[in-house]
Amino acid sequence: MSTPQILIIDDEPSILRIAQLGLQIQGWKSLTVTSGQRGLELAVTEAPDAILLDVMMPDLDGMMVLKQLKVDPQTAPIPVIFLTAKSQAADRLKFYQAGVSGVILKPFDPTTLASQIAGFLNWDG
Amino acid sequence: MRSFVMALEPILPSHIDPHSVRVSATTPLSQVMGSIRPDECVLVMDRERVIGLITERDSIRLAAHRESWVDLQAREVMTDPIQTVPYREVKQLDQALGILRQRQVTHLGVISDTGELLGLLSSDTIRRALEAPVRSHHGDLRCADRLSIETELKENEAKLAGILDTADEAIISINEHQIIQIFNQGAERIFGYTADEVLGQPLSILIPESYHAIHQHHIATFRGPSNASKRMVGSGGEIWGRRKTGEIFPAEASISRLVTREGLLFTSILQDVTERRRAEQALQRNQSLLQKIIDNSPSVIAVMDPNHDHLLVNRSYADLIGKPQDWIVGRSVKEFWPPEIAATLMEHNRKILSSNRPLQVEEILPHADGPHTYISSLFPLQAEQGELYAICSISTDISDRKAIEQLKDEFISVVSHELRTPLTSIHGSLKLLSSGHLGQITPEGQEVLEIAAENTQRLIRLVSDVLDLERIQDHQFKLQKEICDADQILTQATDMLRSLADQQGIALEVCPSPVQLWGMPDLILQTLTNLLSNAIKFSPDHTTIGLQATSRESEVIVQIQDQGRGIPADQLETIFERFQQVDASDSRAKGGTGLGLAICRNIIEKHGGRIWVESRLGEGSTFYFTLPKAPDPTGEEL
Repeated sequence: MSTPQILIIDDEPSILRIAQLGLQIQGWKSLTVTSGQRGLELAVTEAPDAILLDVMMPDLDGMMVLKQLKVDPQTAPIPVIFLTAKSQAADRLKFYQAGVSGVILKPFDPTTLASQIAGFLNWDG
Repeated sequence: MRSFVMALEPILPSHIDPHSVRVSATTPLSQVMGSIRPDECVLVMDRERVIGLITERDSIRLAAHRESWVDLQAREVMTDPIQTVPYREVKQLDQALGILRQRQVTHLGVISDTGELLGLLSSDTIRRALEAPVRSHHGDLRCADRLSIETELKENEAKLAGILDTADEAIISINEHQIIQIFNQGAERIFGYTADEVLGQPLSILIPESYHAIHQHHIATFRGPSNASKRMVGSGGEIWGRRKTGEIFPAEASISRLVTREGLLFTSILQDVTERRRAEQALQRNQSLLQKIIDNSPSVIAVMDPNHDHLLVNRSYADLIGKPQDWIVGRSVKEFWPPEIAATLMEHNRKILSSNRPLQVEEILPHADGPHTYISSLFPLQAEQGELYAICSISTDISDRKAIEQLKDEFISVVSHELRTPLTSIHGSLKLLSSGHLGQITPEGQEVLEIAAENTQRLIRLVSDVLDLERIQDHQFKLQKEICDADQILTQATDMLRSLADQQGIALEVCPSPVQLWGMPDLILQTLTNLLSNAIKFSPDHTTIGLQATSRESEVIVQIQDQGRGIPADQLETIFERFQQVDASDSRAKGGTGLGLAICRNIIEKHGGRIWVESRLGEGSTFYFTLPKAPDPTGEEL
């Protein structure tokens, strides 16, 4: 697979930057946005290879963004991985039932972020 | 005393006095009173018919009233109808006396078979007849008969004296001049005088001075039918007596009036009620003490009978309802609580009635500023025979506590989440820096980075432990229990900590445990990993930690045994509290948060189990926890 492009959606700019740097050192490209609404637009226009999505965001939260992505035929095939502090099994079960491809817990290790994503998506990298 | 005696003497027409004074119904009373003689009565006539009579009793009553009776007419005060009896029914004196006593009258009209009034029969006439057998019209009474009558009289007197003396009560008779005529042994006991000391003395020696006036009034107004008795009570429901010692005591008495040949005889039967009054006062004092205590309690207290009617409430309860206490007592909860609240309260009462056990519940009661939460202790009240007669409820307003708890929960939750976001950034930044991908760092720089990373990890664990504890302690948090294999979950826990144990050369041994656990797998696993990581932290290198689950009657017991340094006996309990570590330096050296065991305890207690530790210093510790077994084999909660 060629260089993957990841869309990262999180309302916290510093987390966006760290995730971006983590992917960058593995040679991955990424787009970052701080709102769910803007994330939905970019998912359509940029067609990223995967979306890293924060769950707890003001206005449009991760679950709502995920639902809208899965409803739109154009974005439905894009795999979504949640980035969340919610570590409970019950939460995770709910996320998978909603259609996420993986869950990465906060705080995360940015240096292994790319390999974690690749692991969830079975990318041989 | 002779008037008590009955004789078997036939009634003769001469006993019936046909010559009573007769007045017309309209005769002014002043005239009647003038013509009435003691122990006699006046017939009140309407034309030729007798329509009533005025007795001496009526005259006493009128005199006692001291009302203006002069203007009244005879028919306004007469006794009507006259008690009459056919002549054939009073052939014997004893029959006549019996009827007079039974009807509590002094005069009987005697009528012929055709209803004609033959005359009046009075107790006085009978007495006179009894006294006069010698000069009776028959004149044929023999001496022997008289003797027999006298013997009988004496026997009766003796019987009466026996009754008088065995009575517990004081029996005291006075004549119309209030001179003491009879003073029985009961009276001697109560008053402390011998009969000899008081007979012939004025009654006033037995009465406290302050009570003399009131007593005079009693005597003056005593106007029951003669030979009838009545209860005698003063103001405040009691009368007072004075003992020989001068001691004044409360008493209860009944008094009767008797007309005798010697004149009026007042007989009082009196009981000393000192003890009873004392008991009543003690009871009253206890009641007022109880009322005072409950009235000064900020809790809302009520006692209700099985029909939910209030028997007793305190001031807080009355304040809450906004009605006086005595208004509430006797009323049902249904009468003033809103229907849905009354229904809940009655439901709680019914639970007590059916279980006969105390109950603690939260109740929501309306206040002017909205609903308040109460914690209510309800318990059954049983009579001596064990019969449940009431339910007591003590409710404490915990709204403030609730509000503070909620505020604290929210605060912790917000702070923890707000801490986690910057921690994620710091943690990520440190990871990136130490990876060397952003440029080489000097060995000293690397060392500093590691210190920062380690402490960040610790802070992250702390935040996550605080959140865990918060989540488990949340009342709304519901366990989702499942049946899981103990073997599987114990192995899972050891697998998670294998690498940590390996670093110290510690062996983790899981004993085969073919039992099933009933709990929330996530939380059981968290408990196990917490206990296991503690065991590893505090074990010397190259030792063994054993895990085992065994089945007991109604629970499964899990144990984690280490060969560590052990826990001092005085800390076996406290280590399960928050931020309680055996050694304060442990927190730094072992990287713990001080919340691990508190979380374990909360998890296990939430499951209905217990957690504890047994330890010997220098030999090791064994942590135990129990989990109740599933209520039924299908694993569904009942």
